[in-house]
Order: sequence, then structure tokens, then C-alpha cells
Amino acid sequence: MDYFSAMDISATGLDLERTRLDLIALNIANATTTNSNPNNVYRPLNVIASPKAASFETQLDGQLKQLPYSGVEITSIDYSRSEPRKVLSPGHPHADKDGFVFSPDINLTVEMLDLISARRGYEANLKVISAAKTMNERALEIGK
Amino acid sequence: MIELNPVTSSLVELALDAAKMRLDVTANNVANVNTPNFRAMDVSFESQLEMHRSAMLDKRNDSSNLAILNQTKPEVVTSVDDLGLDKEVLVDQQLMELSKTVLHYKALLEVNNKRGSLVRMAITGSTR
Repeated sequence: MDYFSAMDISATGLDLERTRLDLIALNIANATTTNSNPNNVYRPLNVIASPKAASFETQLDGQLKQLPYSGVEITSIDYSRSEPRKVLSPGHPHADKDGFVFSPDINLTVEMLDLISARRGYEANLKVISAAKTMNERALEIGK
Repeated sequence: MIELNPVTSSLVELALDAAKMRLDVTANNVANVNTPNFRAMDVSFESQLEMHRSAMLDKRNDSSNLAILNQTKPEVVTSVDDLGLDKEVLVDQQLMELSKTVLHYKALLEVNNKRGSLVRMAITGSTR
């Protein structure tokens, strides 16, 4: 348990929420892209996160009942398995021989909801950082 | 070393440690707020003190009370709701816990400063 541990933990949270935001931006930006081959259509990306295990020393001190985690970590960034949308549009430059155009299966409502949750998560982590700052500042005044 | 009210100082020290640990735990809960299957964690400290309180009020002598305090240690636990089930992380609850922790920390430091000024008074013989 060191001086900046809470801030380090919240920094991992900030990093995750920012990555989430980046991917949402990427998904929305690519929402209307098209392709004639369903395999080449943009696939929406998702971030997969899991609790980050604490360092080896902390786990070794397990009998002291320390915090077993040190924040959150991005396990992977993976594309969505959903099938691309197939729209009949024979005049489209990307239409295949049957006149179908493929576009990514991106639900703007879901992306916007994810955006709100990412933003709130980011704010919550910032709140914790400023609380940690206040506490550390007060601790420096011990004995004054 | 002879110390003025050693029980107070070690009690404040323990409580500050617990508050710091609670801050870390809250930070971890908030960082994992969007992690699936993550369960909120908490620090067990006050309940331990509560258990020892009557014993400490019984024998009002510093060395035995210090021995009791040495057994008390803030511990990280998984937080459970009223039904004894693991709790999910709720941001509003965590942020409320956070502001409580900060206030509590400030209050403890205030207590410690007061104790310091008592010691100062005992040494110098004046309040100035």
C-alpha cells in the first residue's frame, strides 16, 4: 500500500474508459461504410476488460488480506461477431453481382448508450483521483 | 519512550491505514465498474473495533489496550448485501463511500493534530 496506489488504480480505469470511447468513435465513424464482399466489411470493435491482479508481492502477503487487485486491465480488443447488414441497392458502386451492398451491423443507439456509460465511468474515476489528492495533501500536513 | 496517550495515537494510526485502504478499494471498485462479474469489495475495520470496544472500556490501562489494538487490522473483504449475497458495483454508492472516506480521513488528521497540540502543551507548559 503505497502513497499513490489509489491514483494508479484510477489511472487504469481512466485508460480503459478512454479506450472504450476511442472504439465507440471508430465504430460510429465507420457505421455507414460499405463493401461488396461481406467478409471485408468493417466489424464493430469492443474492448474486453477484466480486473487486474495485484503484483506478486501483494499476493504473497495474502494472509494480510490486502486488496487482491490493482485496477482494471484491457484483456483484448475484439471485433463483433454479428453478421453485416445486407441491403439491396443495385445502383450502388459497391453492389455485388446480385445487387446487394454490405454494411457493418452498428446500432447507433447502443453505441450512444455505451458512450454515456464510458463518460460516466471516466468521471467517476476522476472523482476518486481528486479524493486521493485531497487525502494525500492533508496527510502531508500531519504535525503542522 | 514514554508517550502521552499511546492508545489514541495507535488507534488514529490504524484508522488512517483503514481509510487509506478503503480509498484503494473504492478506486478499484470504480475502475472495474464496467467489468462483467466483478463484485464490489470493502474494508472490514469498524466491526473489529466494535468487537473490542467493551474489552477496551473494561480494562482502562494502556498496555492491555495496546495489546488488543495490535490484534486489530483493516482487512479487504467482498461486500455483501442484506441477504448475504455479493454486491455489484454501484457508482453512486461508491462515490458516497468515497466522500465519507475523505471526510473521515480529515477528521482523523484533525484528532491527531489536537493530540499533537496536547503533547506540545505538556512539553512547553503553555498553549503558545
